[in-house]
Amino acid sequence: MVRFLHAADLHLGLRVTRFEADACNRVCEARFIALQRLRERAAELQADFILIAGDVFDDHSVSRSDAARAFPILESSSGSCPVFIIPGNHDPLVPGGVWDRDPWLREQPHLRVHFLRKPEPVAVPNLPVTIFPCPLRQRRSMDDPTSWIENHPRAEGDRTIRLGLAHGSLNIMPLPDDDHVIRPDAADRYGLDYLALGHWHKRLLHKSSDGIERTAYCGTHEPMAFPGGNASLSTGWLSYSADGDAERFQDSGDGIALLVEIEAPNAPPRIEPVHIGRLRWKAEQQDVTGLSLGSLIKEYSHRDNPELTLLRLTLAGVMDPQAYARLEELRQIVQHRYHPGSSMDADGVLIEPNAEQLAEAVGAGVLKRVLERLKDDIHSADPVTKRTAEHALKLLYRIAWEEQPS
Amino acid sequence: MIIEGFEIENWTCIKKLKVTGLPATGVIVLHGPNRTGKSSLVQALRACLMDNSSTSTALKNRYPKGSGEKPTVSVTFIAGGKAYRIKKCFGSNKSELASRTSTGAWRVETATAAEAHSRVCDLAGGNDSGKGLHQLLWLTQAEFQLPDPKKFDANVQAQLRGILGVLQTPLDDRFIERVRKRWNEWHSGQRKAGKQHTIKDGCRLAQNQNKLNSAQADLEACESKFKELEAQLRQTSELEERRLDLDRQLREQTSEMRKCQDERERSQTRRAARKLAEERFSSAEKENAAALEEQRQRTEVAQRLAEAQEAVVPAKRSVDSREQVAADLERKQTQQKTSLTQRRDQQRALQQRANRVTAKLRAMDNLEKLTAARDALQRAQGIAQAVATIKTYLVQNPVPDKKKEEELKANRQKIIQLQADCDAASMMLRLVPAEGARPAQLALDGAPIRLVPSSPTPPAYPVRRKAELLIPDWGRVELSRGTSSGDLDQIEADLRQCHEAYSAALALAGIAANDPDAFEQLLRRIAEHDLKSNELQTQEQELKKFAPEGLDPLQRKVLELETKLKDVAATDSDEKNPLPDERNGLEKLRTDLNVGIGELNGQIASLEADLENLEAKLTHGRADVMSAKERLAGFEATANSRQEELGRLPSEEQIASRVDRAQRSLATAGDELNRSELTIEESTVDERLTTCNEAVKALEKQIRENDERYNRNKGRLEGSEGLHAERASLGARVDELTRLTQRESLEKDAVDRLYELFEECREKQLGTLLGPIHDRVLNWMRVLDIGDYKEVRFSDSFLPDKLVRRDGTAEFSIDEESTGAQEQIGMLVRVALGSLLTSADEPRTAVLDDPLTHCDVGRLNKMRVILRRAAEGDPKLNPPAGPLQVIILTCHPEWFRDERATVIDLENPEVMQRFPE
Repeated sequence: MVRFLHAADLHLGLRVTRFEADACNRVCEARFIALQRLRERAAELQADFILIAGDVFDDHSVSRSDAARAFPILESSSGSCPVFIIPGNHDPLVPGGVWDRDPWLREQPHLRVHFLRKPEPVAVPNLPVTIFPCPLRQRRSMDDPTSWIENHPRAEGDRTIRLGLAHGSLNIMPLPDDDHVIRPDAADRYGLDYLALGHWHKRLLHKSSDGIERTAYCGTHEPMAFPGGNASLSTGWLSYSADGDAERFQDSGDGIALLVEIEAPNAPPRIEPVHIGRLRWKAEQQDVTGLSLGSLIKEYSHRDNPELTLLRLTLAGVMDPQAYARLEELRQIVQHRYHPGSSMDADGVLIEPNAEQLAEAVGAGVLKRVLERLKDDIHSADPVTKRTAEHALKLLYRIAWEEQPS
Repeated sequence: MIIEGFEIENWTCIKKLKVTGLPATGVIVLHGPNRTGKSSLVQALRACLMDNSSTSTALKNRYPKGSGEKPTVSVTFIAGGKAYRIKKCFGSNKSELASRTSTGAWRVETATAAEAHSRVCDLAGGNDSGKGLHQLLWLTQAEFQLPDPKKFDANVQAQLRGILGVLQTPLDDRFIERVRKRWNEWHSGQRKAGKQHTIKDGCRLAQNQNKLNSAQADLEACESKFKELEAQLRQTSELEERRLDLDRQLREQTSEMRKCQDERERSQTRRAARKLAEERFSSAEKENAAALEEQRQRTEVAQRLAEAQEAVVPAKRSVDSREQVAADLERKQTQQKTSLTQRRDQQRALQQRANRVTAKLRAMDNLEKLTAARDALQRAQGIAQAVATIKTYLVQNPVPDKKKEEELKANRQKIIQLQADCDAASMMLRLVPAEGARPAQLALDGAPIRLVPSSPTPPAYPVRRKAELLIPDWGRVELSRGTSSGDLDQIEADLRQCHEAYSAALALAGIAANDPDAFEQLLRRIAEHDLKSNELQTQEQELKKFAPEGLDPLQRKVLELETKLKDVAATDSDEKNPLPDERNGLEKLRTDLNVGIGELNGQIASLEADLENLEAKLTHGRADVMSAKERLAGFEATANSRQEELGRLPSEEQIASRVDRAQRSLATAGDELNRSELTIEESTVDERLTTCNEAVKALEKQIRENDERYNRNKGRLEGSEGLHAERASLGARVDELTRLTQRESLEKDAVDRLYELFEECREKQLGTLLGPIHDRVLNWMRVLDIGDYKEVRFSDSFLPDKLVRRDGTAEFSIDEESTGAQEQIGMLVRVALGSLLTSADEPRTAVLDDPLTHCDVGRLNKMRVILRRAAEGDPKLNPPAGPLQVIILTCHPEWFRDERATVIDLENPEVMQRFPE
């Protein structure tokens, strides 16, 4: 039996832009911490080796420090299991790229890090396992990176466990033609006991023709997008795939790897997700209509590990002006208790005071008329006028509230 | 507060003033001429009610001059329905505020100066008569404009706001202040409706925008570099594939080359034999071709020699015939030349004789001309002699010219006249000697003394200046004029001058002036001179006829003719054939000779033409001969050259033998060549090897180039290390700045919109609330006929800001109106606003010092009514207008007096007493 961890898409040196600089740095730093955890989890789970199916780095031109820092983490200490790595489409094996630089350029083999540059079978030391690595040399290609394995069918009497290690898109849905498309029956066709894939950030297990799940995407070891994200939750990260915003690139927000156990050749693999990630990314929406703001504040104040949660809280619904004025408290909690980069968007909250509140808020003077005019603006067909009016209305309430006699 | 009465003592020029029982409302006119003390009165009221405590030292200039008394002002007024009396003795701490009890007695409220002042200020509405409602209703002298809106009392505005309605709540004030403050974070100055306000430099939004632009530019550059790298990535991939393909091709070509090399080595012997056979065959072919060529050349040369020799004979014949023709022509030419010479000799002889005839005829003509010339010369010489004689006379007897002559005559006349005048001015000394008296001696006017001749008639002597008479036995008598002789001096001076001029004129003519006939002589000479001049003119004209150019040409002509006559005599020397002596005979002979000469000339011309024709033919014939000879020489030279060429070639036998040998060798080499024929592979192995070599080299070159490009790209890609992090960093910065900028832009737009809406709403509300004031002022303006305005726009300080023309086409500021209209509008607004702040329970006092000075009579009459009505108030208006106590101080009581006005004459000593000036 062999036991190994399947990870992919580490995207070290991640390019995220939609946070302030400190948050960006922390998000990037979390990926290294998670990599260290991957190593630790492998030791804990007594994994024989680790497979990393591409995209270790977010780009072939990452900084020297990022490139250099990843190596000793993967190399780890003596007694650790070996790691087999292939280049993916983000960090393809290109001349002068990250793999052509120290420490990755050193002659193979290293003690534990095996960077597989060529598409040729590799025997795992001291184990009846053969790895069929499919390194990528281009960002995009119309070639199936696994196709070369067809020339290496299982020999008669071969009792080794055959593992495919590739980076690309499994052709089970409409895909761009140049997205390193891999045939869906690759594991069957090439006699692989397990095909470890990378590229898609969403965990996915694919059944072979015999109904056994031998092909798997493991997800990312550390979240890099808000789950269920839309454009407003974008981090600024860009996939090099033609449909980079596709749903298959959305991770769960947790950060996982797969623990795989295979008893013998042709035996069905046992696959379990293993939590690796340091941060949890959460995108939450709350309808504040009828909600007590106090309870909402309480809820977000008492969550577990808020400092390790990157939160995007979006509020919608209708509030009264007094409650709206307290929203700032909630914003402060989100921004200061949660991981840097957490934010609250209350643009969707509408303020509807009752008559008494209205009179109290704006009085009977000019402000009252201003308020009426702004309400007209809010119903404007022009989105700019509407948006300006919505903001102006909130501003009016805020100033008026602040200027109330104490 | 309204004033019930006041009492002033010792205030500037006012010794004592007392006014009581003023009505609570209506118009009160206090009048007096200039320098009565009206303005001083107002100042005293201001000081007492509002401006100064009694202890104030600021009023020392109000103390009466020359009096040790201190000013005392007492004002009785009603405030809050209660009557008070304030009395201040300035320059001391004597102040007293008292209130009137229901019984009419006065109860002292306070006698402390500070407290009295403080309390009266409270009751009067402030401690400054230039502020509060007084700013509107207490006009100083000549003040005609409304207060500056910025300086318009805020409390009054607040009171107006309270009366007119909720214009702007305190919350509104605080709100708009906050909004303004926020707005000024992005903009400078004040917001103006309809104006696009730019963002000020240095604000956070501008800074962020600048940072964003800069970051975007950096990111763009970084992205551009990234795209370039991506393109290089693709290119590198292609280069790698190409390198594989080139390696494959190189392997194939190298293999092919090795095959060719093996094949080449295997066929080495056969290819050498083949090469030798080819060389031999080639050599034989060349020898055979050379022999045949030599044979062909000899045949050609022989043929050309024969052709040249055939051409020589006809050329010789042609030369002979042409020489014969030329000889015939030469003979004919000689004959013609002989005939021509004979004719020319004959012609020359006749011509010589004809010339002699002509010369003789010309000599005859010259002789006649000589005779005439000699006569003319002789005549001209006679005339010339006469002319010279006259000219000599004229030179020797000069006369003045006509002008001088006239001057001389005038001078002479003047001398006579002056002499007469002189005589007339002289004394006449008549000497009548006694009988027997010895002759006396007389010296006149400085002349030498002389004896007075005895005469039967007593002589009389004119004495001009002095006469000395020596009378024997008696003595000496002197008769003298005074030192200044008057007219006589002038006459004598003129006479001397005339004499001098007369003497000078005569001296020019060589006539002595002392000659008594000098003038007659001169006149005679002038007459003689005129006669001689006329004669000279006649002679000169005559001489001009004979010798227009003088005598020399005549003399030269005579000499010339004489010479010609001598020459003609010398030429006629043919003694054998003498010429006739008569003119007729000579002329006949000349005619005959000319006829003969003409005939001979014709013959000569004909002969010359013939000769010329012959010479042309002869020249042509000689040229033909030369041409034929040259052609002949050419043919002969060609034949000789061909002969020599043929001599240089081998003989026919030698050539035939060489051809035979060469053909045999060729046949042998051909056989050998056929025997050593190669296969196609053997024959093309070298070419194929060369091709392979070139292909290998080309592929190696391509591989080198490919590798170079690959390595270049590799270098560039290596250089891109860290670019991703840079992109990430720049992208994050751009995103952050974009977020900030968008957020702040939204905030700015929202604030701007709030500001805009606030201003609009306030304007609208202002218009609504100020409607009653507006309507009242505009109605009054129409009554006064001020402009043609449909609207008076008030600012938020409740003061008029703009006037809008009736058709709405233009807006004017109040300042653009005339001074009179400004004053009137100001007064209308003051009373309109003032009456709003009063009520029937609490009327107010308006003190107008010398108002409406810029008003014409028509408007004054209307203004009087307006003031009266404004003072009465109108409870029906909304909001109601309260009554006013309008105190007018003027020197024109007629402007404001009407049946309802209270009029007080300040000149009335019961009212006011002044200090003497």
